[in-house]
Amino acid sequence: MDVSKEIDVEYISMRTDAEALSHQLPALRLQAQQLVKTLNTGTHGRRKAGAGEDFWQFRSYNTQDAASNIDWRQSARQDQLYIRQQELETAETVWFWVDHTMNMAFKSQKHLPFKVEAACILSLATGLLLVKGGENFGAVSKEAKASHGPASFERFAHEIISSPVPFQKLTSLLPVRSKSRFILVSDFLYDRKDLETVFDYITSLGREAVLVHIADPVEITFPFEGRAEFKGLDSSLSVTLNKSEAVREEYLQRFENHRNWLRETASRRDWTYCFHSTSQSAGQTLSTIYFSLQEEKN
Amino acid sequence: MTGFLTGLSFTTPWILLALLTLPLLWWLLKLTPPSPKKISFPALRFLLEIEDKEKSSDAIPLWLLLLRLLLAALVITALAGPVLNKSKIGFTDGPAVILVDNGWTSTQDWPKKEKLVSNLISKFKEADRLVYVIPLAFSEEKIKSAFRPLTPQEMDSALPFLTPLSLAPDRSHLNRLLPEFEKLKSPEFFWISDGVSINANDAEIKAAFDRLAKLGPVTIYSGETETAPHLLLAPIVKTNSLELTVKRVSIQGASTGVIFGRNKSGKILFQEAYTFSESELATNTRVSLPSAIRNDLSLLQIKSARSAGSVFLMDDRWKRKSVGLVASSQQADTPSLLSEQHYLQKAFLPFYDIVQDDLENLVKQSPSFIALGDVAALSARQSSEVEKWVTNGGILIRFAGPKLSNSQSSLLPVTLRQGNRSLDGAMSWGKPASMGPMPENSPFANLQIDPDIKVFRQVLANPSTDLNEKTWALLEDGTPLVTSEQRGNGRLILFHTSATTAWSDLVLSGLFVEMLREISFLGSFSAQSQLSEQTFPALDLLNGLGEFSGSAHTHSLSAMPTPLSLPVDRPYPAGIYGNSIFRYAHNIGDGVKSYSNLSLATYSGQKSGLEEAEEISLKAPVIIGALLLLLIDILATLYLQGRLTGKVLFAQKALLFGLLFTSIFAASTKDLSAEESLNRLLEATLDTRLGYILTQNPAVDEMSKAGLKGISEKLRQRTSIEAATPLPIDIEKNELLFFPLIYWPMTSSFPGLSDKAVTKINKYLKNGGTILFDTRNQISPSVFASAEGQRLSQILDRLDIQRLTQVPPDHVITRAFYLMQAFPGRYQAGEVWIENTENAHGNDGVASVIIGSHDWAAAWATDNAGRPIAAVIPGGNRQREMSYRFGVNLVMYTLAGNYKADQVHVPAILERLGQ
Repeated sequence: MDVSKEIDVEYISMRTDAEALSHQLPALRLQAQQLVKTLNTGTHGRRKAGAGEDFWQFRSYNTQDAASNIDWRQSARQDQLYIRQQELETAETVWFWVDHTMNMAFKSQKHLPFKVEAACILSLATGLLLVKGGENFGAVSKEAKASHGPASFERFAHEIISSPVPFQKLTSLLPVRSKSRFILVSDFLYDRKDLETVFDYITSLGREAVLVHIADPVEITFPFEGRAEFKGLDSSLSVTLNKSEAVREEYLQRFENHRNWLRETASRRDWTYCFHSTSQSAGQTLSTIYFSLQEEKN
Repeated sequence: MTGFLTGLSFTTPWILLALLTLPLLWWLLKLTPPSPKKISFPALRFLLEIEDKEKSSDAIPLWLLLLRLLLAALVITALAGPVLNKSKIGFTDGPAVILVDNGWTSTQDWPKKEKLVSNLISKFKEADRLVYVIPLAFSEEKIKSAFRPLTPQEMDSALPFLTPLSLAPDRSHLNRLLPEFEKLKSPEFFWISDGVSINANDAEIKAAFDRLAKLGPVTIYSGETETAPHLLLAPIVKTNSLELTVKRVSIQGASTGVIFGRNKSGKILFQEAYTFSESELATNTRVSLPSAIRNDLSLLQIKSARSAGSVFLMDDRWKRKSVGLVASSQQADTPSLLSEQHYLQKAFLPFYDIVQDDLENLVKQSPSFIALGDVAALSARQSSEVEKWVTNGGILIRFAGPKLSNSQSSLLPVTLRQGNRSLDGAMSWGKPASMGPMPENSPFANLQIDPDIKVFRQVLANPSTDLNEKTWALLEDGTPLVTSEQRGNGRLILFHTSATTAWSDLVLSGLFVEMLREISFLGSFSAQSQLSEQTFPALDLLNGLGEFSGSAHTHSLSAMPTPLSLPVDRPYPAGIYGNSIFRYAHNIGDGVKSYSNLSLATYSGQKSGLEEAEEISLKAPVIIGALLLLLIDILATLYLQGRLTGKVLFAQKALLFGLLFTSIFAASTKDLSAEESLNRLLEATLDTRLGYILTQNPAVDEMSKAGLKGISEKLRQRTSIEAATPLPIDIEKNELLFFPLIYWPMTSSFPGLSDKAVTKINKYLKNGGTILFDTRNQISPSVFASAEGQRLSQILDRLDIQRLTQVPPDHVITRAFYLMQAFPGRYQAGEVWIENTENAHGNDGVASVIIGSHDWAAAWATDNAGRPIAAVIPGGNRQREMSYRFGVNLVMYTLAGNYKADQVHVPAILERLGQ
């Protein structure tokens, strides 16, 4: 059995999972919108005229303006010449990748969201904010296409939720266009080697990334006691422990190591790392993500 | 604890072999630790790294292992059916022979024994075993010879022949039955023993039971020997007192008791306490009684001892006779030791009241006896008066002496030769003569002859053909010492020697007193009756409990040489025998020579107490225990998995205790007895209702209910009696007083009545209630011989009921509402017995008991639509109508009393009123 086939199986299961998730799209969107409402961004995007495709405004003709810019149709209606201005279009695009592995389809308690849900909500909310700011954004997928504006959000949302891309495929699927940024939302439960490969690839492209580390509270605190068999979600592997509490310290140590390693890796590459527990309010994380985008921008 | 363990046994012990698999289970459990809780965990990769270090030990904790082994052991034990106090019957499947000591010594624990026997019988019945019940005390030949298994019907009903008798158990009967036992295939024996041996050889009894033990297993049930009744022996009469002797069976420390003396009507005349000291087997007490009161004594009884051995019946023998002692003509200055008067007084005193007077005056007073010393001749007038008195029944006791020897008198039993015969003297070669054996026809026949008695002189009788008949005592040479002759109703008795020491030693001996005592028995019965009647029928016999049973006319004493010499081993129950003239009290105390414990411990066979501890199945508790352990195991597993925290723990604890309590309650709940509720009391009292006794047989109860409902309906339709729905009555629990008529269908298995219930019924009957007993069994040949009839008579025995008669043709019940002479129920013909109220006062002349076998309730019974339920036999509407009429008459009779009886006088009354 080769690895690719294994991945394919995984891919299919991810897809079904994502489809199930997509049924909740309106709900997720609503949650994302709610989330965004709570966030006062403080900046108003790029609401100014510039090089872009969309109409921005009509302006009186000045002599400096090129004659070709005159909008004759508009000018004909009145007795004054108008120039049609397009909205400024930034060249930088934000690419979202949400991890859809089985490990993400986990929640330890009923009232908590699945990790993948939390990831999607964060991505969608960020997307909404970007819509507000008129930024270009898109989801990493086979036909990666970035756009901006409310209309594109729909497609983005759909892709985020229902077109999962395995982590290992990122190296081949990441768009190579200039001036893009990546938001990677995952629990990053991969081998360090794999993580390094992807991160190095992004760095080699000269891009920056935001690592959003999603974790369930039990992964953070490991509250288990007694005899228990721990089963992985993405494999049939399991671990049976007689006294779960005995390994807590060690586990926490390892989890912290993993987090620190991610954080260090991010800071080394001048990336942003933010950690999100599904039990904590998403607003906090969202603002972190958004402002990190802003900061980088300015 | 050992008691608990010895009481523990298993219904299917072989299942316990499964306990051998426990080591295997141990091994298996060690192999398979408790399953861990399963947790999905994304960050498994970290744990995988750790796992290598934290080697998960798969071993099950030792305490959990032990818990589970215990659980398994409990389940196995439960399956084996543990039973506490399992009655250990069933060594064999063969016939069961139940030997019952039902003598008077068995009475103290009798109810327990009865229960034990019926328990045993019902168990054997379940096991389809033949059951032989052999009472070891019996008085009837037929029981002695009958050796047959009980019929199924007998198994169900109480055994009528199994009652304590006032006899000693005859264990030698076993030897006679031994050939029969040998014929049985693998028999098993159960001896319900009283542990007492009376006049018997312990070794012989033991040998008999050892022989039984060879035939099959023997189980011996016995109570505490301390409970054996105190035995009241024949009292010894002293001048003005009675000396009472009480025996007990074994030395068991000090104990006390009280003896009552009662007169005929049951009044207590005296009460005397007695005390056994630590080591006494017998004790005496003396009660002072004026002779007048002593004459009234009819029985002695040890207080609250329910046994025939604790009762001593006193017949006429115990009454002090009065003897007239003719005052001597001797001078008053005769030294007393030379005076006849002195010796006669001393000799008569223990058994007679002595009246001293002139012969004439004595004859006028007409005592039973007159003792006449040595007198020469009586005047003709005296002679004729005495003769008349003797002919009327007086007994004249004369003594010889110098005067008599030289005179002639007609008042002698034999004609005497002139002069006396001197056996001792200077001129004689003879020696003083001793007494010879008593002739067999003599009342003295059973007296012990004292060889020291020497007779020096005597008067001799002229030989005659009837001399032997008349002779009551002889000298060794065959010459008469005492002769007697019947004269009319009375008797003449002559002692052929003097009443002083001048002629013989006889007056100095105890024999003389005994002879006089024997003579005293003659005072009230004539030898004629003794001769003509070879048997004394039983007048009133005691049962084993020391109560007059009043129903034992089948027993009789045959050929009694003299009452006192009645053989003790003969199976005659204690009681009063005789006829209207002579009453002879046969007492247990007379015949008991030895009264001791049987050392049952040395007997082979299993010993068991009388009171079988209740058989308790431990299956349920053990299963509950196993379930609890299972619960603990679950909790333990949860704990091991670390799921027991906070609330969960509390909830589970609550659940555990809840289960515990429910299980305990489930195990201990028994039906709460229904008490007489206020509602029921109101229901019973606010309307006139009929009642019926519940028999524990649902079919019978249902029929009673329907029947009484039917007749109540008819009463409402036809009469002014507004009878409401009848009520069922639990005889032990409910009050009877409210019901004018109670219908009591009798079943063969009707449970025995408690004393309380008997008191209640008696009170009800006394206060004017009427009970209609219905044995419902006219199909069977005889009403009273049937099982129902026997049960009925057992119950009636305990009730205060007058004599029963068949309903006379002019009885009020034949015309209380309808005119009728037959009383059909479901069955047409048959007798109806009713209490004879002719001479009774109170209750308005209403009989309190009516007994029949017609199954009236079935004839009356209607269903809800008013249709009759049971067919009448032989059938026809008329029969049913007549049965209704009987019901109406009966209720009318109980409610209206003999008012209807007065109606016969109506024509006369109307005439007097001038109509």
